[in-house]
Amino acid sequence: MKIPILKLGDVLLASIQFELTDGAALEFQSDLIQAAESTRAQGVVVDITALEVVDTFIARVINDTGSMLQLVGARVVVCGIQPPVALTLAEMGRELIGVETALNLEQGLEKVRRMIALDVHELRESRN
Amino acid sequence: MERGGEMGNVKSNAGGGYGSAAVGQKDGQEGVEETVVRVLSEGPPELFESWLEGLRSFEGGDSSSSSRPAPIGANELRERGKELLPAFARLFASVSADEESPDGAEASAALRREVSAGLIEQGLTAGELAAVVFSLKYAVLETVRSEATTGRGLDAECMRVSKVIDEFAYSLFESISRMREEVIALQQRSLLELSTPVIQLWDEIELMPLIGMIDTGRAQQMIERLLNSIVETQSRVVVLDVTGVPIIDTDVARHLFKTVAAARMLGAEVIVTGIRPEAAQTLVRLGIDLETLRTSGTLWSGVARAFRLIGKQVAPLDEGGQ
Repeated sequence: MKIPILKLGDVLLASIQFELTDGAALEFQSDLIQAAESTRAQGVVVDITALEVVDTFIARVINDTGSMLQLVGARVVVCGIQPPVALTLAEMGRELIGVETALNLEQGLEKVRRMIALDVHELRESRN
Repeated sequence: MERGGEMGNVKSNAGGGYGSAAVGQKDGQEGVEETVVRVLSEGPPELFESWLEGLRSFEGGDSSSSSRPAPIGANELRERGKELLPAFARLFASVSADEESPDGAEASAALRREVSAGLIEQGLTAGELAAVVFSLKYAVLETVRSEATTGRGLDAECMRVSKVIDEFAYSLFESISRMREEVIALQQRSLLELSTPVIQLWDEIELMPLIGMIDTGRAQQMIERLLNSIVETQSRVVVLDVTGVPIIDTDVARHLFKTVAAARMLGAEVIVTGIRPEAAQTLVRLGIDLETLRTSGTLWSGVARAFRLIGKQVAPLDEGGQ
């Protein structure tokens, strides 16, 4: 089962609705990067509200995805991390470093748009 | 396990006792067993006198309580005795019964618990209860000894009385310590609840003032509460005030980092406020890097910063109005 990736203006939206196997996570990673590349999206919001368990592998995949998206020119925000998930990841000393987070989808979209606006602003500044 | 073995030993002694008592009956005299039952169910005045006396000597033996009045007055003791003695009589009878059926043992255990609960409700301390129960044991033994018309089986019956009362004392103290433990656990829980409140300060700001020592258990509970509350109230900023934490060492710092990391993963920013100068000195000397934490000296500056983070500010009324 593929995870649907929706386009919302210049932002891509992906909501993970079921527990990911390692294979599915990697498949989602490449799907997302290809989609970001082909749609020239400037931002990506990944909603993981439904994930009850995030192991170190999935955490790394999320991290890597963030870095990869950065390389193809898109900013990423992960939203909806559940308290137990955050607690487990913090206990393991594994933060989702480099990935911006938000409480919910709404704030995630807001945050990614702000980040994009900031990028545009910086770009203009450097041109002047 | 230990107790079971003990019971077995006493039981076999007691078993020998019944035979002797039976011999006594055949002689047409009152057997020692009957004497015990009579003493326990009737509660003669001599028993109470001896009980009171024993109670006083127990009290006197305790140096710290010499000025304290007897835990239980003569009248009250008589009242209590009216309930206690028949219960002991039934327990005494059940010692023979429980050899045959486990139900009997269970019934007498239930009876012991019931009587224990009744005694504990009187509000006596553990020491006072011990004095009451053990002075009763000596009183009963003494009375039985003086009332017994035959020496046959006396020792065995005395053992049986001892066993009944000791078992009762065991269950009494077990009940006491269980009740105390329950109270302690309850207090600990409410203390934890009290010591980690999460306050909704503003629309998207939460305040968690920490008071008292932070150990691993508390830190864990604190983080869980904070995270759940962040999700519940959808707060974007958390002000963590550590003014009330007496010592901030490596462990506490680690817990703080963990809290901040976990809250950040949810998408909430954490501002740590109230790190006192001594704590700051210790932390820097310990080589703990607090650079990654957002810290503010005082609670109010932290709150002001929290407002800025959600795009608001506190402004004087007249300036704002003009």
